[in-house]
Amino acid sequence: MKAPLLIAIAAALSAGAATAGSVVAPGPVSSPAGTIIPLPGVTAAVNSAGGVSSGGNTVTTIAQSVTIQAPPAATVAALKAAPGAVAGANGGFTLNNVTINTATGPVVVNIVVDASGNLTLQPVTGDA
Amino acid sequence: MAFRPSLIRSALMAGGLAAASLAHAQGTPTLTAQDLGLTSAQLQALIQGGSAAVASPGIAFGSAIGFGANWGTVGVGIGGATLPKTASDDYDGSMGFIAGFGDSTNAVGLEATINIISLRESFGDDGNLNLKLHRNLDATTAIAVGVENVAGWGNADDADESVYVVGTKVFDLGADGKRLPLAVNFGLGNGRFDDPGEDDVTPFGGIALMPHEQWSLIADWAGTGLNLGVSAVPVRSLPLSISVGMVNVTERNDSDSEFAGGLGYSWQF
Repeated sequence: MKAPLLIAIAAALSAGAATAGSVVAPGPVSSPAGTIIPLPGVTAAVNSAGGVSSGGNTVTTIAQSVTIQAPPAATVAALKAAPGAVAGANGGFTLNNVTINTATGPVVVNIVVDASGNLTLQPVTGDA
Repeated sequence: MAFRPSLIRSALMAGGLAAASLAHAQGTPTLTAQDLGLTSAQLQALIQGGSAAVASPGIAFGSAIGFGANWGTVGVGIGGATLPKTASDDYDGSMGFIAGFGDSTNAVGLEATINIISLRESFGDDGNLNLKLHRNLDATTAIAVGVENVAGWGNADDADESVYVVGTKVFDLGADGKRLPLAVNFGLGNGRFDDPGEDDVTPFGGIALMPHEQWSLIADWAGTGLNLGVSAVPVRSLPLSISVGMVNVTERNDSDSEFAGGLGYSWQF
Protein backbone atom coordinates (compact mmCIF):
# COMPACT_ATOMS: atom_id res chain seq x y z
CA MET A 1 0.00 0.00 0.00
CA LYS A 2 1.35 3.39 -0.94
CA ALA A 3 1.57 6.34 1.37
CA PRO A 4 -0.88 8.49 -0.65
CA LEU A 5 -3.58 5.92 -0.04
CA LEU A 6 -2.84 5.95 3.67
CA ILE A 7 -3.12 9.70 3.67
CA ALA A 8 -6.42 9.42 1.84
CA ILE A 9 -7.69 7.01 4.45
CA ALA A 10 -6.48 9.34 7.17
CA ALA A 11 -8.39 12.18 5.60
CA ALA A 12 -11.50 10.04 5.41
CA LEU A 13 -11.19 9.04 9.03
CA SER A 14 -10.71 12.59 10.16
CA ALA A 15 -13.35 14.17 7.97
CA GLY A 16 -15.32 16.51 10.14
CA ALA A 17 -12.74 16.38 12.87
CA ALA A 18 -11.53 19.33 14.78
CA THR A 19 -8.85 21.46 13.24
CA ALA A 20 -6.44 20.24 15.85
CA GLY A 21 -7.06 17.18 17.93
CA SER A 22 -6.03 16.66 21.49
CA VAL A 23 -2.65 15.06 22.04
CA VAL A 24 -3.99 13.42 25.16
CA ALA A 25 -7.08 12.01 23.50
CA PRO A 26 -7.64 8.38 24.44
CA GLY A 27 -6.76 5.37 22.37
CA PRO A 28 -4.52 4.87 19.38
CA VAL A 29 -4.88 8.48 18.32
CA SER A 30 -2.49 9.58 20.99
CA SER A 31 -0.72 6.32 21.71
CA PRO A 32 2.75 5.73 20.33
CA ALA A 33 2.61 4.90 16.66
CA GLY A 34 4.68 1.84 17.47
CA THR A 35 1.61 0.20 18.92
CA ILE A 36 -0.19 0.60 15.60
CA ILE A 37 2.67 0.12 13.18
CA PRO A 38 3.94 -3.47 12.82
CA LEU A 39 7.43 -3.73 14.24
CA PRO A 40 9.89 -6.48 13.22
CA GLY A 41 10.92 -6.82 16.86
CA VAL A 42 7.41 -7.71 17.95
CA THR A 43 7.00 -10.11 15.05
CA ALA A 44 10.28 -11.81 15.90
CA ALA A 45 9.30 -12.08 19.56
CA VAL A 46 5.95 -13.62 18.68
CA ASN A 47 7.59 -16.05 16.29
CA SER A 48 10.29 -16.86 18.82
CA ALA A 49 7.96 -17.57 21.73
CA GLY A 50 8.05 -21.25 22.52
CA GLY A 51 11.64 -21.90 21.51
CA VAL A 52 13.01 -25.41 21.75
CA SER A 53 15.46 -26.79 24.28
CA SER A 54 18.92 -27.46 22.93
CA GLY A 55 21.94 -28.34 25.00
CA GLY A 56 20.11 -27.46 28.18
CA ASN A 57 19.23 -23.99 26.96
CA THR A 58 16.04 -22.69 25.42
CA VAL A 59 16.92 -21.43 21.98
CA THR A 60 15.11 -19.81 19.11
CA THR A 61 14.96 -21.78 15.90
CA ILE A 62 13.19 -21.40 12.57
CA ALA A 63 9.69 -22.55 11.73
CA GLN A 64 10.59 -24.56 8.67
CA SER A 65 13.53 -25.43 6.46
CA VAL A 66 14.97 -22.75 4.20
CA THR A 67 17.31 -23.51 1.32
CA ILE A 68 19.90 -21.02 0.13
CA GLN A 69 21.12 -21.81 -3.35
CA ALA A 70 24.77 -21.20 -4.16
CA PRO A 71 25.88 -19.76 -0.82
CA PRO A 72 29.35 -18.21 -0.59
CA ALA A 73 31.93 -20.90 -1.19
CA ALA A 74 34.16 -19.61 1.57
CA THR A 75 31.38 -20.01 4.10
CA VAL A 76 30.64 -23.54 2.94
CA ALA A 77 34.30 -24.43 3.23
CA ALA A 78 34.53 -22.99 6.73
CA LEU A 79 31.43 -24.85 7.85
CA LYS A 80 32.70 -28.10 6.39
CA ALA A 81 35.93 -27.74 8.34
CA ALA A 82 34.19 -26.83 11.59
CA PRO A 83 34.22 -29.25 14.54
CA GLY A 84 31.15 -31.45 14.49
CA ALA A 85 30.64 -31.42 10.73
CA VAL A 86 29.57 -34.86 9.54
CA ALA A 87 30.44 -35.80 5.98
CA GLY A 88 27.64 -36.98 3.73
CA ALA A 89 27.45 -38.37 0.23
CA ASN A 90 29.24 -36.76 -2.70
CA GLY A 91 30.87 -34.02 -0.71
CA GLY A 92 27.80 -32.94 1.24
CA PHE A 93 27.83 -32.57 4.98
CA THR A 94 25.71 -31.77 8.04
CA LEU A 95 26.50 -29.47 10.92
CA ASN A 96 24.10 -29.13 13.86
CA ASN A 97 23.42 -26.33 16.32
CA VAL A 98 24.82 -23.48 14.28
CA THR A 99 23.98 -20.02 15.59
CA ILE A 100 22.98 -17.29 13.16
CA ASN A 101 23.04 -13.75 14.49
CA THR A 102 20.03 -11.87 13.12
CA ALA A 103 18.78 -8.36 13.59
CA THR A 104 16.39 -9.60 16.27
CA GLY A 105 18.63 -12.04 18.08
CA PRO A 106 20.39 -15.37 17.68
CA VAL A 107 18.67 -18.22 15.88
CA VAL A 108 19.94 -21.78 16.17
CA VAL A 109 19.64 -24.12 13.19
CA ASN A 110 21.00 -27.32 11.76
CA ILE A 111 22.77 -26.92 8.43
CA VAL A 112 22.75 -29.42 5.60
CA VAL A 113 24.85 -28.84 2.49
CA ASP A 114 24.01 -31.19 -0.36
CA ALA A 115 26.20 -32.44 -3.19
CA SER A 116 25.16 -29.51 -5.35
CA GLY A 117 26.37 -27.04 -2.77
CA ASN A 118 22.91 -25.83 -1.76
CA LEU A 119 22.73 -24.94 1.92
CA THR A 120 19.60 -25.76 3.89
CA LEU A 121 18.78 -24.29 7.28
CA GLN A 122 16.70 -26.74 9.28
CA PRO A 123 14.88 -26.22 12.58
CA VAL A 124 16.50 -27.58 15.71
CA THR A 125 13.97 -30.17 16.68
CA GLY A 126 14.66 -30.95 20.29
CA ASP A 127 17.16 -31.30 23.07
CA ALA A 128 20.43 -31.94 21.31
CA MET B 1 11.60 -22.37 0.23
CA ALA B 2 14.71 -21.58 -1.82
CA PHE B 3 16.71 -18.42 -2.14
CA ARG B 4 19.52 -17.42 -4.46
CA PRO B 5 21.76 -14.87 -2.81
CA SER B 6 24.07 -14.76 -5.80
CA LEU B 7 21.61 -12.41 -7.46
CA ILE B 8 22.21 -9.74 -4.90
CA ARG B 9 25.45 -10.30 -3.07
CA SER B 10 28.54 -8.45 -4.07
CA ALA B 11 31.58 -10.08 -5.53
CA LEU B 12 33.57 -8.88 -2.54
CA MET B 13 31.42 -10.80 -0.10
CA ALA B 14 31.45 -13.91 -2.26
CA GLY B 15 35.19 -13.66 -2.68
CA GLY B 16 36.15 -14.24 0.91
CA LEU B 17 34.97 -11.54 3.26
CA ALA B 18 32.26 -13.91 4.40
CA ALA B 19 34.75 -16.43 5.67
CA ALA B 20 36.65 -13.75 7.52
CA SER B 21 33.57 -12.81 9.52
CA LEU B 22 32.55 -16.35 10.35
CA ALA B 23 33.14 -16.70 14.06
CA HIS B 24 33.32 -19.74 16.28
CA ALA B 25 31.72 -19.96 19.71
CA GLN B 26 32.22 -23.04 21.86
CA GLY B 27 33.39 -25.01 18.86
CA THR B 28 30.35 -24.39 16.66
CA PRO B 29 30.29 -21.63 14.06
CA THR B 30 28.32 -18.45 14.46
CA LEU B 31 27.08 -17.03 11.19
CA THR B 32 25.95 -13.61 10.11
CA ALA B 33 23.77 -12.64 7.17
CA GLN B 34 26.90 -11.74 5.24
CA ASP B 35 28.31 -15.21 5.73
CA LEU B 36 25.26 -16.55 3.90
CA GLY B 37 25.51 -13.96 1.16
CA LEU B 38 22.41 -12.14 2.34
CA THR B 39 21.56 -8.75 3.68
CA SER B 40 20.17 -8.53 7.20
CA ALA B 41 16.71 -7.78 5.82
CA GLN B 42 16.84 -10.75 3.45
CA LEU B 43 17.91 -13.09 6.24
CA GLN B 44 15.16 -11.77 8.48
CA ALA B 45 12.59 -12.25 5.73
CA LEU B 46 13.75 -15.80 5.13
CA ILE B 47 13.70 -16.77 8.78
CA GLN B 48 10.35 -15.17 9.41
CA GLY B 49 8.93 -16.29 6.10
CA GLY B 50 7.47 -19.59 5.10
CA SER B 51 4.79 -20.48 7.56
CA ALA B 52 4.80 -17.14 9.35
CA ALA B 53 3.08 -13.91 8.39
CA VAL B 54 5.47 -11.04 7.72
CA ALA B 55 4.00 -9.04 10.59
CA SER B 56 2.25 -9.78 13.82
CA PRO B 57 -0.94 -8.06 14.98
CA GLY B 58 -0.91 -5.35 17.60
CA ILE B 59 -0.14 -6.19 21.22
CA ALA B 60 -1.31 -2.97 22.88
CA PHE B 61 -4.23 -0.60 22.54
CA GLY B 62 -3.16 2.65 24.08
CA SER B 63 -0.16 1.71 26.19
CA ALA B 64 3.48 2.04 25.24
CA ILE B 65 5.36 -1.21 24.68
CA GLY B 66 8.91 -2.39 25.34
CA PHE B 67 9.71 -3.22 21.73
CA GLY B 68 10.60 -0.49 19.29
CA ALA B 69 11.90 0.22 15.83
CA ASN B 70 15.58 -0.24 15.03
CA TRP B 71 17.69 1.11 12.20
CA GLY B 72 16.22 -0.17 8.98
CA THR B 73 12.58 0.22 9.97
CA VAL B 74 10.27 3.08 9.15
CA GLY B 75 6.51 3.15 9.36
CA VAL B 76 3.37 5.16 9.15
CA GLY B 77 0.17 4.88 11.14
CA ILE B 78 -3.16 6.63 11.21
CA GLY B 79 -5.85 6.50 13.82
CA GLY B 80 -9.20 7.91 14.72
CA ALA B 81 -11.54 7.91 17.68
CA THR B 82 -14.98 9.14 18.51
CA LEU B 83 -15.06 11.95 21.03
CA PRO B 84 -17.11 12.46 24.20
CA LYS B 85 -20.46 14.19 23.88
CA THR B 86 -18.97 17.20 25.62
CA ALA B 87 -16.53 17.73 22.72
CA SER B 88 -17.40 20.08 19.90
CA ASP B 89 -16.80 17.42 17.26
CA ASP B 90 -17.86 13.83 16.84
CA TYR B 91 -14.47 12.30 16.16
CA ASP B 92 -10.80 13.07 15.78
CA GLY B 93 -7.81 11.62 14.00
CA SER B 94 -4.04 11.72 13.90
CA MET B 95 -1.18 10.33 11.92
CA GLY B 96 2.24 9.12 13.02
CA PHE B 97 5.55 8.41 11.37
CA ILE B 98 8.23 6.31 13.04
CA ALA B 99 11.87 5.77 12.28
CA GLY B 100 14.23 3.43 14.06
CA PHE B 101 17.85 4.01 14.88
CA GLY B 102 20.45 1.81 16.56
CA ASP B 103 20.19 -1.86 17.38
CA SER B 104 18.18 -3.02 20.38
CA THR B 105 19.56 -6.55 20.19
CA ASN B 106 23.26 -5.79 20.35
CA ALA B 107 23.10 -2.33 21.94
CA VAL B 108 20.21 0.11 22.26
CA GLY B 109 17.56 1.12 19.76
CA LEU B 110 16.01 4.54 19.46
CA GLU B 111 12.52 4.97 18.06
CA ALA B 112 11.48 8.44 16.99
CA THR B 113 7.84 9.16 16.32
CA ILE B 114 6.39 12.28 14.78
CA ASN B 115 2.66 12.63 15.31
CA ILE B 116 0.58 14.91 13.14
CA ILE B 117 -2.63 15.81 14.94
CA SER B 118 -4.02 18.24 12.39
CA LEU B 119 -5.12 16.19 9.40
CA ARG B 120 -8.13 17.84 7.85
CA GLU B 121 -7.43 21.53 8.02
CA SER B 122 -3.94 22.99 7.90
CA PHE B 123 -2.38 19.55 7.61
CA GLY B 124 0.73 19.26 9.72
CA ASP B 125 0.31 22.53 11.57
CA ASP B 126 0.09 20.71 14.90
CA GLY B 127 2.21 17.82 16.00
CA ASN B 128 4.71 16.42 18.43
CA LEU B 129 7.80 14.27 18.77
CA ASN B 130 8.09 11.12 20.87
CA LEU B 131 11.37 9.33 21.64
CA LYS B 132 11.89 5.86 23.03
CA LEU B 133 15.10 4.01 23.94
CA HIS B 134 14.57 0.27 23.86
CA ARG B 135 16.60 -2.84 24.49
CA ASN B 136 15.87 -6.51 23.79
CA LEU B 137 16.74 -8.60 26.84
CA ASP B 138 16.26 -11.81 24.88
CA ALA B 139 14.34 -12.96 21.83
CA THR B 140 10.96 -12.47 23.49
CA THR B 141 11.54 -9.70 26.03
CA ALA B 142 12.18 -5.99 25.64
CA ILE B 143 12.28 -2.94 27.89
CA ALA B 144 12.04 0.71 27.03
CA VAL B 145 12.11 4.17 28.50
CA GLY B 146 10.44 6.95 26.58
CA VAL B 147 9.26 10.50 26.54
CA GLU B 148 6.14 11.49 24.62
CA ASN B 149 5.63 15.04 23.48
CA VAL B 150 9.30 15.80 24.09
CA ALA B 151 8.81 18.58 21.57
CA GLY B 152 5.73 19.93 19.87
CA TRP B 153 4.45 22.57 17.56
CA GLY B 154 1.12 24.24 17.02
CA ASN B 155 -1.52 23.28 19.53
CA ALA B 156 0.48 20.21 20.56
CA ASP B 157 3.13 22.49 22.02
CA ASP B 158 0.87 23.13 25.00
CA ALA B 159 0.66 19.49 26.07
CA ASP B 160 2.84 18.16 28.88
CA GLU B 161 5.46 15.49 28.47
CA SER B 162 4.70 11.90 29.38
CA VAL B 163 7.64 9.90 30.70
CA TYR B 164 7.42 6.14 31.03
CA VAL B 165 9.31 2.91 31.52
CA VAL B 166 7.84 -0.31 30.19
CA GLY B 167 8.66 -3.95 29.70
CA THR B 168 7.05 -6.45 27.34
CA LYS B 169 7.40 -10.22 27.13
CA VAL B 170 5.83 -12.71 24.76
CA PHE B 171 4.99 -16.14 26.16
CA ASP B 172 3.73 -19.22 24.38
CA LEU B 173 0.71 -20.80 26.04
CA GLY B 174 0.37 -23.38 23.31
CA ALA B 175 0.47 -27.13 23.69
CA ASP B 176 0.66 -30.21 21.47
CA GLY B 177 2.66 -28.39 18.87
CA LYS B 178 0.20 -25.52 18.54
CA ARG B 179 1.40 -22.06 19.41
CA LEU B 180 -0.64 -19.57 21.40
CA PRO B 181 1.43 -16.43 21.93
CA LEU B 182 0.52 -14.15 24.80
CA ALA B 183 2.14 -10.74 25.09
CA VAL B 184 2.28 -9.21 28.56
CA ASN B 185 3.04 -5.54 28.91
CA PHE B 186 3.65 -3.51 32.08
CA GLY B 187 4.93 -0.02 32.69
CA LEU B 188 4.90 3.09 34.81
CA GLY B 189 4.31 6.56 33.47
CA ASN B 190 3.03 10.03 34.11
CA GLY B 191 1.37 12.58 31.86
CA ARG B 192 -1.16 10.88 29.61
CA PHE B 193 -0.88 7.70 31.66
CA ASP B 194 -2.14 9.53 34.75
CA ASP B 195 -5.67 10.64 35.49
CA PRO B 196 -6.52 14.17 34.35
CA GLY B 197 -5.60 16.80 36.89
CA GLU B 198 -3.20 14.59 38.80
CA ASP B 199 0.57 14.43 38.69
CA ASP B 200 1.43 10.92 39.76
CA VAL B 201 3.36 8.00 38.38
CA THR B 202 0.72 5.51 37.31
CA PRO B 203 0.95 1.84 36.30
CA PHE B 204 -0.24 0.79 32.89
CA GLY B 205 -0.16 -2.45 30.98
CA GLY B 206 -2.10 -5.16 29.32
CA ILE B 207 -2.21 -8.52 27.65
CA ALA B 208 -2.67 -9.59 24.06
CA LEU B 209 -3.60 -13.11 23.10
CA MET B 210 -2.98 -14.33 19.56
CA PRO B 211 -5.27 -17.28 18.82
CA HIS B 212 -4.16 -16.91 15.20
CA GLU B 213 -0.92 -15.49 13.88
CA GLN B 214 -2.87 -12.81 12.01
CA TRP B 215 -5.08 -11.48 14.75
CA SER B 216 -5.02 -10.70 18.43
CA LEU B 217 -7.34 -9.86 21.29
CA ILE B 218 -6.11 -7.01 23.46
CA ALA B 219 -7.03 -5.86 26.95
CA ASP B 220 -5.06 -2.76 27.81
CA TRP B 221 -5.10 -0.61 30.93
CA ALA B 222 -3.58 2.56 29.50
CA GLY B 223 -3.29 4.22 32.89
CA THR B 224 -6.51 6.17 32.76
CA GLY B 225 -8.95 3.55 31.58
CA LEU B 226 -9.48 0.05 30.26
CA ASN B 227 -9.30 -0.40 26.49
CA LEU B 228 -10.41 -3.53 24.65
CA GLY B 229 -9.41 -4.11 21.06
CA VAL B 230 -8.87 -6.49 18.21
CA SER B 231 -5.90 -6.24 15.89
CA ALA B 232 -5.36 -8.02 12.59
CA VAL B 233 -2.82 -8.43 9.84
CA PRO B 234 -5.25 -8.98 6.95
CA VAL B 235 -2.67 -9.95 4.34
CA ARG B 236 0.07 -12.41 5.35
CA SER B 237 2.60 -10.94 2.97
CA LEU B 238 2.00 -7.29 3.90
CA PRO B 239 3.26 -5.61 7.10
CA LEU B 240 -0.07 -3.88 7.51
CA SER B 241 -2.06 -4.04 10.72
CA ILE B 242 -5.51 -2.81 11.62
CA SER B 243 -6.63 -2.29 15.20
CA VAL B 244 -10.15 -1.40 16.35
CA GLY B 245 -11.79 -1.36 19.73
CA MET B 246 -13.31 0.57 22.57
CA VAL B 247 -11.42 2.85 24.90
CA ASN B 248 -12.36 3.57 28.49
CA VAL B 249 -14.91 0.79 28.54
CA THR B 250 -15.58 1.31 32.25
CA GLU B 251 -16.29 5.01 31.65
CA ARG B 252 -13.83 6.29 34.26
CA ASN B 253 -13.30 9.96 35.04
CA ASP B 254 -16.89 10.81 34.08
CA SER B 255 -16.06 10.14 30.47
CA ASP B 256 -17.84 8.01 27.92
CA SER B 257 -16.57 4.87 26.30
CA GLU B 258 -15.40 5.67 22.77
CA PHE B 259 -14.69 3.76 19.57
CA ALA B 260 -11.14 3.94 18.25
CA GLY B 261 -9.25 2.44 15.36
CA GLY B 262 -5.88 2.60 13.70
CA LEU B 263 -4.02 1.41 10.65
CA GLY B 264 -0.26 0.93 10.43
CA TYR B 265 2.26 -0.05 7.80
CA SER B 266 6.01 -0.53 8.07
CA TRP B 267 8.92 -0.84 5.70
CA GLN B 268 12.32 -2.44 6.18
CA PHE B 269 15.41 -1.45 4.26
